[in-house]
Amino acid sequence: MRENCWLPAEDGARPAENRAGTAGRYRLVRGVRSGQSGLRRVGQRGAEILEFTFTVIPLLALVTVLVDVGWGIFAKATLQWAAHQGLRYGITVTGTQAAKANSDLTTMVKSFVQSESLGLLSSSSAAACIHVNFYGLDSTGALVNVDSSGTGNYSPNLMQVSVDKYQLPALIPRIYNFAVADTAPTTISVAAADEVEPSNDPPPMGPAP
Amino acid sequence: MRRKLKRGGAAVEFALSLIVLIPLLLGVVGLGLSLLRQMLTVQLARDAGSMSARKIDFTASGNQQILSQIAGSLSLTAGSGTGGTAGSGNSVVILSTMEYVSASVCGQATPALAADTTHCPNLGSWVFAKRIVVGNSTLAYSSLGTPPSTIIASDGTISINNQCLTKADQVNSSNPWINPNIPAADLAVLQTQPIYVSEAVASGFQMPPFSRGTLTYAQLYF
Repeated sequence: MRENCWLPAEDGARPAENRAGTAGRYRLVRGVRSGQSGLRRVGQRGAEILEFTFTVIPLLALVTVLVDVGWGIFAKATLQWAAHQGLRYGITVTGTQAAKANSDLTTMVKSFVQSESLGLLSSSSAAACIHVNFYGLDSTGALVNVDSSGTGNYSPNLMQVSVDKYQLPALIPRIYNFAVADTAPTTISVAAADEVEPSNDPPPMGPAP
Repeated sequence: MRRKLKRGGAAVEFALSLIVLIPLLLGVVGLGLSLLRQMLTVQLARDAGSMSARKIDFTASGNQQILSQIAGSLSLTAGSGTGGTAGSGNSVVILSTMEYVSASVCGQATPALAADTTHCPNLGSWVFAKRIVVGNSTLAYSSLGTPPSTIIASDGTISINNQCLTKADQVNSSNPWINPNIPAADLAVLQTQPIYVSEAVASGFQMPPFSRGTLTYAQLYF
């Protein structure tokens, strides 16, 4: 049962409501459960709020770090998935599909990665982090970038879809000290690669990377 | 007096609760980052296995470099050849091709071997036909077994003769890598074609005692 309470007298007895001379020493505390000591001396006013503040700020600091770590893991997993899906799509795209979309392989793959990124890569600055590279091997087995070759997207070359140096904004500011909250973005890079599927209807490569 | 002593009580209680909260927080962070590394390990194994099954030659330094780029923060050291780079990097990819030694395989040896376990000891067993290791070769070993390096050619292949004669080339039979409930007819079909296996192992996230860096492992079949 909740009721309004008066600060008890020194002997613990409830003061009479018409007790004279108590206005400066007692105050009404509303909503305190009957039988509990929820009453405060005037000198203690605000102490609970102060203590609450002292405890909440460190707790909040812990929570912000936790949230941002989870946010970073989620973003990295999402981007990895998007790059992987873009790659799977890219190695099987045909010239007919590209002509129907009035597009080219690189542009189509980038759009696909964007669509799979749950909005993380929707802005133009974020989309600029998506790269589609094509690689082959020279006679010594060393890696050669064939982006500028007209047939770079032909089998058995490798296609690599990557999201490079994506700047993930902090979901909430991290509290490391009382002066300035840390809002620095987290840099994330992911990549996926596979062999381009053999095809007798290869699409135009487009402006790789 | 009692109320005076209670001043700051909440702060003290909170400090006590931090003893539980902070390890909990660090544990959650460690677990999260370990899960992330596990996901990257699976991704690495998947891409490597997919390319390996399509005959991409991972003894070439360029293709190992591609794997290294995919691995990213797993720190896969690219080299060349079949043996990997001992002690370098925090991850390793082990690519295997397994084949079943049937009577016809024994007959393909030079000279042809009789189809019995006296002349063709690996008859009726799965053996390694190819093995390539990329990355830190001392970090972990394949759970399927390790063929002797002396029988592995420079391109990673193992000759038909060694597949038939070298007992150490057998796939670890104690590892239940194949579905024991597969129907006999399907198993017969399976025994006529190679199985490509990709294993990736990486050092886990280290933040003792909350995350002790236990190796993350992925094994995929193609």
